[in-house]
Amino acid sequence: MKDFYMSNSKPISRREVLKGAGVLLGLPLLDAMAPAFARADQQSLVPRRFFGICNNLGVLPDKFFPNPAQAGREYTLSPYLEHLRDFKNDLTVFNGVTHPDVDGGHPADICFLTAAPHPSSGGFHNSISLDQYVGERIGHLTRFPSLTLGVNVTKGARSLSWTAGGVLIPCEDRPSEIFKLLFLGGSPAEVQAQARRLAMGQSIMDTVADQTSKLKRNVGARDRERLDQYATGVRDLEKRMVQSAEWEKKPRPVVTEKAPVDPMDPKEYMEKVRLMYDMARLAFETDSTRNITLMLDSVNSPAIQVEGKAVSDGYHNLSHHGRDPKKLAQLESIDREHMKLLAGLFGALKTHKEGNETLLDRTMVLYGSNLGNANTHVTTNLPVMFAGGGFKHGQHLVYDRERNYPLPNLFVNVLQRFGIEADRFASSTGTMRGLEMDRSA
Amino acid sequence: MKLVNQSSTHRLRTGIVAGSVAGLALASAYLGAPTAGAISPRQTKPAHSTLDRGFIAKYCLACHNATSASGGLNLSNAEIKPTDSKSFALWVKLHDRVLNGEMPPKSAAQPTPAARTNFLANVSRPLIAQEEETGRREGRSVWRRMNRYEYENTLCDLLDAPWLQIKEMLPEDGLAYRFNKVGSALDISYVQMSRYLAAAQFALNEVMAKQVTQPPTTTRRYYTREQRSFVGLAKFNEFNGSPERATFPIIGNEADIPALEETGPMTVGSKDPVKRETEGMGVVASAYEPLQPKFNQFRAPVAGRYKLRICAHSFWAGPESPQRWWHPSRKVVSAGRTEEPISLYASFPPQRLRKLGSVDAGKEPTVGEMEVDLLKGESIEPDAVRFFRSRPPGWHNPLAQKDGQPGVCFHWLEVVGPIQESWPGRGHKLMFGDLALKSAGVGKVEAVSTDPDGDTTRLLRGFMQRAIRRPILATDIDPYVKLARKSRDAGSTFTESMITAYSAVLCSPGFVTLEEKPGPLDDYALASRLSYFLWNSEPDATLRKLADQGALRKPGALAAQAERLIADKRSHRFSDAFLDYWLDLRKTDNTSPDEELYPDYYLDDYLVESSIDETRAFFAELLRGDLPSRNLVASDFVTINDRLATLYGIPGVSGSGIRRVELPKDSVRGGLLTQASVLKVTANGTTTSPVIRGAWICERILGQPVPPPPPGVAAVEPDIRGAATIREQLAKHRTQPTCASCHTHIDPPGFALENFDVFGGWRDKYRALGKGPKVAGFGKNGQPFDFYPAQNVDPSGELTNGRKFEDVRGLKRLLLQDERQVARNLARQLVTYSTGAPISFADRAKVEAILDRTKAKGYGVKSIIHAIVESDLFRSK
Repeated sequence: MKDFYMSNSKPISRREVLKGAGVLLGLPLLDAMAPAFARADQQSLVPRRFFGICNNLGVLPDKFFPNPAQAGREYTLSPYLEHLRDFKNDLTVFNGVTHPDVDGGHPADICFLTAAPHPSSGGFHNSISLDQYVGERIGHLTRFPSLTLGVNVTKGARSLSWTAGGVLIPCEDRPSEIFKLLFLGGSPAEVQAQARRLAMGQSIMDTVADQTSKLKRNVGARDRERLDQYATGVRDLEKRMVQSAEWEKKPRPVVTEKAPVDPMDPKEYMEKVRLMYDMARLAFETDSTRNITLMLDSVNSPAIQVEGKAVSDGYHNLSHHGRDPKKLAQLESIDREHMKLLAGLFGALKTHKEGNETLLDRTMVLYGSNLGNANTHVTTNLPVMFAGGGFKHGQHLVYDRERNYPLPNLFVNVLQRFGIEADRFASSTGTMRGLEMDRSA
Repeated sequence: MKLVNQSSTHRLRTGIVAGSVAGLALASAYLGAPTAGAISPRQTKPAHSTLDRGFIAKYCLACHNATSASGGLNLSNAEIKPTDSKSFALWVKLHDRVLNGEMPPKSAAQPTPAARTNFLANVSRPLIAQEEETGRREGRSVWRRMNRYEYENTLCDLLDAPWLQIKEMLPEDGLAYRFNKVGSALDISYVQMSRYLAAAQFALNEVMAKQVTQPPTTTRRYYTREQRSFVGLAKFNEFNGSPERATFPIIGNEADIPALEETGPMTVGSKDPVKRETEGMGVVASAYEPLQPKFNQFRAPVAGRYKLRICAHSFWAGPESPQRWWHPSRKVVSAGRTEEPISLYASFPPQRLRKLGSVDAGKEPTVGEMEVDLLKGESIEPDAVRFFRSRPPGWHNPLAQKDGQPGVCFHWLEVVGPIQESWPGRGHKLMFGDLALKSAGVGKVEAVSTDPDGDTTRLLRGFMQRAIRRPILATDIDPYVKLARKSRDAGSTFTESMITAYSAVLCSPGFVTLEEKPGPLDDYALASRLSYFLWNSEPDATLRKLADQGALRKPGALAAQAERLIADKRSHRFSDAFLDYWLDLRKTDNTSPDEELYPDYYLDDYLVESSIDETRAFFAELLRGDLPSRNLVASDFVTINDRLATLYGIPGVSGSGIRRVELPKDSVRGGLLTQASVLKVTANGTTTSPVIRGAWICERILGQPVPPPPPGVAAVEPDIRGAATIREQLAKHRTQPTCASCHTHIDPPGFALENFDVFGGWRDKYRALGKGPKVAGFGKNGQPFDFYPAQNVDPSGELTNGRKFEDVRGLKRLLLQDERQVARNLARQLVTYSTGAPISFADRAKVEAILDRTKAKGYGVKSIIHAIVESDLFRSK
């Protein structure tokens, strides 16, 4: 179980910090908490969610990307995107994007949500991932600030979630454990330890707040303003700890689904992916968290099972296809299976209603890879699609395929959609050109 | 006149209070940003306007009147309102333009020098009076928290744990006046607080003893032939069949064929210690995915100090065949021909790499030694940094010759450690004194207290006396004692309750903020100001003792302490942090050299690291030797190693260590402007811009702020297809009068640096992509060069005062005609850094006094620091 204030981090501009403090009042809230935030207007009560998925072997680019000449809304679906035809207006496909300076091939997957440069070079230090940055700001609004999931991951070696201090957050790879965590609760000892940690955190902040008020006597106006800010920071953190602690006193949500049975064999990769999508959907439906990452460690996967197809080679080996038609055919069947599973996820999210919207409208799903082409290990022209969450979708956004457009810009869109008033993330240069929020949503 | 007016209009409209950029020609233009916003009319008396109205009527009103209000300025009923921050800023600007002789314009009647001086004095008086009044009431600086450098250093010193790394756990600090030392920008939010709490708890837990008995200090050798990582890479597999990406089993200076072909054992092991010493594993490429061999058997058992000794030698790998000579053969190995730099990295899974240091491998097995701080769980990764990094497709080693290529053979790593002066460490003792320890599971202990209440008070008193940088009272301890008791009551162990209380201390404003009261600083505040200046950390026991004795304010005491702090090795924290912000050295690696235009720099970590080391060593040399400030612009020496010597074309420098090297007469190098780090930080990896570099020189070296471009004006994008030079593009830009008024000042110094590419390499021609006669060669990534030499560089220029220069050497000479300006800028940067407040209008005279005091020493860098420490600017809030 995560202690929410253990999330640590790097660069946020002064403006962000300032605004970050204020944004607390403008965030989506659960009914139970609404009285404490009576000032929050109705508009901002809409819960927003984020699901970031990285398949670290990517997909065959020729079959994934639509024709670059067809930018905008009038584009022909690519062979892979045909599987997502029903959701054409719920998603945007990016063509010509990359994480600037995130090179080095395979190791770049751990930077998919951090965009920290040069993961293979000396002196590399990862930075905070998008989900942790979000969790740090709105995590107290749900039982879990974030969930970090994985399929076939080498434990402790790969993850999409990183703390501010550059520490890996291990992936949970057993669906049954996630189910347990969400709906059955941790062991009494765990629950108690967490409650005590939060209670102590509150007491620490309370003590610090008293000290701050003492200092404020007898100082000039400019100094007092700084100390006031200090006091506010302390009290804000204390309030959030109180809210987080409240969760353990509330009953867990009840769901009709039964606990899943974990596939044990790494070959059952696709079944694992399907179950992970299912767990994510359940977590969102029950508002247990608003923030999930999923690392699909295809590099670490053997010859996987694909329904109705024969796959003879290891997934990683297939990705180095060298244009061998047999390998390409197998790889294509894997890629298509991925698209079908995504269609399943989007469909399930779209079926569920929350207020006057579908769950998909309130869930930003980012699907992509750190590799533009696994055959050559390039980390440019990344295959990325972005679905749901209340954006004007239905587009094929084409950027410069020679000099790529920065993908971290999309992360700024995500933050802003959450209501977090950030204007940059990692190497972003702004928000994604051509991608707009759907204001009616 | 018209041009100047237009420019000032746009500056006025955009609300920029920057001074004139004409300062390049008129170096006396230095200005103070008024402490705007700080002035509260409620608290101040109305100031008397003592304006020389006759002067205004005679020299200003012809243009700046009610009808024409040239430049948006109407002086017909002018009045100085010092309490109004806008009026204050306007008059500072006006003052400076008259001072610099820009106004009245050259074409108009000029006042006598005496009239000018009198007018200026009359303008200055109320402005200075206003600032001094604010200073008396509130101080120049604002109450501030520590920045993340300071917080990390302070915890390292407090807990005696130099290995702690918590800077990255804290949010990046806000900047004001370029530095992370100014209260108004060092904000606090709940995010900041939660990070402090997490960092404090992390540090306290790490510092506590991890076992009941002292961990033994051991000495162990890790042979490469016994490391899974090295051995695994010797075997080809489905993902690698290429020798450049594999390790080479080597014995002496020959290929170890049985080991390579797995017909013999990988090592003779301890049975044959003599032969074992000659075994090794070679590489011909620099560590990079997928070739990242490491000493995987070693993982630091606890955080602490370790001595590392690495044994390696260089070898020569023969070609696979005469046809494919650039491919090495693992079967054809001979004696080395080169000396090779090796960097050691501490690596933490999956991919965190921290550089520890560099050593050199000679042609015979060489043992390189270093003492380092390691975190628990870190292992060691060696890297032959001069070598290439194979990137697909089909790489070609740029160092390969027809008869082979250089390699490095690693033999073993010896680790001595953890080296412990005492156990438990001083940090543990500060927390738990001599309390008995008992095990609380693997890697965890608890302190046992038979008198929890008594121990809590006693230990907290000791901890707080040390952590809080001024005397504490019994009542200061009480809230923390209560907190610890509350924690115990809630079911925490004694140990947990103490960590809770200590965490609170480390989040409290008494620890996190630097307390200063208006007026002259008391001894404790002075001790902190000095130590946070020169060590970027808390005062040590000596400073604390002097403060206790009230001795710091005695004549000479502070100077003696400043001297001691500068001489101490901890002073590198000052120069590192100061350079990180003054010169943006922290951003050196923010952009990478373009893969296609600069493949010779791309992926060259050794170059990046060396370039940062150079600038640090250079500043340290100026500081230690009290060398004149003019060295910042031009010095007759550089501080370089082999990699930089290659970049700069300086012969006779081998080895990875940075050392002082005298320059030949008339060298283009020397000084900051021509250092690789500076030239890289002012470029974007693909192209250079004279505008950016020119502005950088104005702002960082000459202290002349450059106003930002007007909104809506796109930057000039250099053309990398070789059609037009940046200079030609800028010439067009500069024909527009509104642009020209600023760019004639900004661009010229940047032109002189056009001879330096994106990493500071010399160039006579620009590189371009596209059609052209390609340069032969291969990049650090093993890919063929795809660029060609395009247009010639024109490094000449003319400053606004008409003085011309041919190239960077000429520019440096011109800049040094006013070395006081270079020193003035350094002094101003240092005052801002050390006091946390910018140079205000009223402070200008004090800076001049600092310069006067150091003039005889040629404005020596250390002399300036001493003069600052002695000044009222430093000794008062």
